Amino acid sequence: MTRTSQSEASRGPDGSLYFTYLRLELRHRLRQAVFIAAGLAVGIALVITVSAVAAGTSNAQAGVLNKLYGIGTDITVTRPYTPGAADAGKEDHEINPGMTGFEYLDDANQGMFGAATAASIASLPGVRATAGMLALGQTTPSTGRGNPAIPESQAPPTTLIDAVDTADRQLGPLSEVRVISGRDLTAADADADVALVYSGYAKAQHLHVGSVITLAHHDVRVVGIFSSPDVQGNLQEGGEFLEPAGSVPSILIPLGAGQALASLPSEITEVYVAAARTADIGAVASKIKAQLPWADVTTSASLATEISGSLGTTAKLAKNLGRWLAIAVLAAAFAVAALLMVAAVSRRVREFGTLKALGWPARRITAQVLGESVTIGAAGALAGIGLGYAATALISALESTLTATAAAAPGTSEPHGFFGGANLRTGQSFHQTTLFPGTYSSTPVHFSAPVAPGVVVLAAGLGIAGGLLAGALASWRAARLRPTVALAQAG
Amino acid sequence: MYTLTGVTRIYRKGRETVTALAGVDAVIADREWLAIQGPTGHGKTTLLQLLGGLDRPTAGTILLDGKNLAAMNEAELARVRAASIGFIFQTFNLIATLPAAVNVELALAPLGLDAAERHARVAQALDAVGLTNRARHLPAELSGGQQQRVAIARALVKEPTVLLADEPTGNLDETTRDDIIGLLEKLWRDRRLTLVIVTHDSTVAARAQRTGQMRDGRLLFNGTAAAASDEQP
Repeated sequence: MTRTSQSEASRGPDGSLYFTYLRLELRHRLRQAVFIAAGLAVGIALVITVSAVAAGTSNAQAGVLNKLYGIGTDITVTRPYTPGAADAGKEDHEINPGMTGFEYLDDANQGMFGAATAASIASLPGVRATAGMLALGQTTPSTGRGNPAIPESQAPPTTLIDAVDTADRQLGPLSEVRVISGRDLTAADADADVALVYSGYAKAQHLHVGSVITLAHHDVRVVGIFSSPDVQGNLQEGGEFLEPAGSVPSILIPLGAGQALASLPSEITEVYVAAARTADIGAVASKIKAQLPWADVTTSASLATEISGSLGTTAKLAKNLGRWLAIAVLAAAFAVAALLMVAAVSRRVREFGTLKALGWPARRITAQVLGESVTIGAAGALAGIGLGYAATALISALESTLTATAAAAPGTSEPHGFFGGANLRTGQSFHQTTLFPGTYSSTPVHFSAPVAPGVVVLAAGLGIAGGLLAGALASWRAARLRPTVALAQAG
Repeated sequence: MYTLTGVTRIYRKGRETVTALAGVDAVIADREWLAIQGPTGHGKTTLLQLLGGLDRPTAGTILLDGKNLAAMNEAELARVRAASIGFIFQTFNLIATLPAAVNVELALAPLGLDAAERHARVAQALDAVGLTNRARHLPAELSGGQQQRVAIARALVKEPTVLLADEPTGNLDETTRDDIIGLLEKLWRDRRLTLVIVTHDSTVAARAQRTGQMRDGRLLFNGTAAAASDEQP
C-alpha cells in the first residue's frame, strides 16, 4: 500500500467527492477494471471490425454490380439461349457472307429478341424508361494491327461492341462511361456511323477522335474516347489490349447503326429498365416476367445474390459468422463484466453497510456503483474503438483484392447480367478466357473496411450499455442490502 | 432523548425464530453516557442498531426527540442517521481505498454541504482526534488506534446529537483503549453528546454515567427491567 499523494487526497468543488471515491476505488481495483474493460473492448472491436468488413463487402458488391450491371439500371431483360428457339436458326449465320472481320455467330449464350420488346416493357406500370441494346463482336485477324503478339495458333481476339440506345444517357451501357475527349453519343446519332472508343482500346489501337475504324467493312468515325470509373486499364505488356472487365465494351455505336451493320434491323439482346421508384423494382420485375415468360429478368438484388468468389465468401463470413461471433463475444463480455461487478460488490458489502450507517441513501450508493461500472464501460468502449480502428486499418492496409464471380444464369452458359448476345466468328467464348474462364466471370475488387461514424457511436453506446448492464445488477444488490446484514459481514 | 417502549425484535432463521429483544423499555436522556454490557448473543448490538435506525423493531416504539424511528421508512431513517447519529464500530469500518480525510468526508456526503464547508469540517474533526498530519494516509498506513480515531472523526464530523459505539475498544490494546476512551469522554463532554457504548470491557463501562445489562433480550438496570419513566438518571 502506498501513501496517497496530495492530489489524490485533494478534492475540488462540490460533487468532487463522488469522483474522488470513484477514481480511488477504480485505481484500487485496477486489474479487475482493466480485465472487464478489455473484455468489453474486444467485443466492441469485433462489432466495429465486422461492421466495417460488412460495409466493405457491401461497397465492393456495389462496385461489382456497377461494373456488371450499369449505374442507373434497375432491371435487365435478356433471353437465354435455347437450342431450337426462335433465334437458334441464326446460329452460324454469316452476315454479309464472304466478308471478314465482322460476322454474326450466336455464341449459344443469350438469345436475341425483337426490339419492340423494349417498348412493350416501357408501357408497363412502374417503368420509368427502357433502353435496348444489341451486343456485337468483331474478330480481329491475328495478323491484324494492334495484336502483333498473338500467335497464329491462338484464337483471334474479339472486340466487344455495344450498339446502344442513345436516347437515354442515364440508362444502359452509356450510363457507365465518361467521355474524356471528343463528344458523347446523342439521340441524333441513332443511325449514324459514329463510335465512342474505350480509352485503353484507343491507346492500343492508336485511335483518337476523328479516327476511322472499320466495322463490317463500313467506315465508322470515332467521335469520342471514354473511360469507365470502375474499370482499370487493360494494357498488357507488349501492347496487347485485353477487353475491360465487366460490361464495358471497347466500342459503343448507336443501336440503329449497329443493327444496320449487323443486318439485324429489329433485334436486340438486352433491355435495360429503370423503375419509377426503387420500391417498385421487384413488382416491375414480376410484371415483366409475367409478360415475357421466356425472359431472364434480373434485378441488382438478384444479381447480388449470385456473386460468389472470395468477395461472396467474405460477405457471407461478415454477415453470418462475423455478426454472430461479434454478438457472442459481446454478450460474453457483458456477462463476464456483470458477474465480476456483482462479485466486486459482494466483496464490498460491509463498505456499503458502513455507508448506509453514515446515512447514505440507496440511490447514492447505486449511483456510486453505476458510476464505476459505466466508467469501466466507457474505457472499454474507447479501447474497443481504438482496437476496432486498428483492426480495420490493418485490413485496409493489407490492400486485399477479392474476386467477385457471377454464376451463370439458369439456361444460359453466360454470366447473368453480363454481356448480351456476344458473337464470335469461330463460336468461341465471347469473353476473354483469361479474365472470364468457363461459364463464370470474375472481376478483381480492391477491398477496404471503412468504419462508419454511426458504428463508432454504436460502439460507444455498447460500451456504456455494457457498463450499465454490469453495474445495474451489482448496484441493485448493493442498494438492497439491509444495513445490519451488511455490517455483520466479515471485512 | 430516547424513549423505548416495548421494543421487540424477532429474527427468522430458517424455520426458527430468534427473539433478540424481548420488550425493552428504557429512557436515555440527552447528553447521557450509557454503557450497555452483557453476554454475547443477548441483544446488545441489536439494541444499538435499533437506536441508530439501522433496523426497525418487530414491535414497540423508539422515540428519538419525539420522532418514532420504528414508524419511519428506509429513506427517513437514512436522513436521521445522516443528520443526528454517529456510529463507531469495533472493526473501525474505514474504506480501505480512501485516505483518512476522504473517509471522514464520506459522512458529510448526504448533507449537501459545499466543498469548502466539508473540507473545513473534516479538518476540524481530524484535529479533534489528533490526526491532522495523517489526513492523506490510507487506513492500512495507520495503527489500530489511529484508525479508530479516524472512525471517531467520521462519526463526529457531521456534529450529531447521538454517538453510538459498538465495542469501540474491542480491537485495541489497553493503552490505546484508554486513549480512545479518554478521547470519547472528552468529546462527549465538549460536544454535549448522548453517548451509548456497547462493551464487554468493565473498565470502559465504569467510565460511563450509567450501565445497563442485556439479559435474554431485556435491558436491566441494577438487576431489574425498569419502566421507561423510571430510567432517567
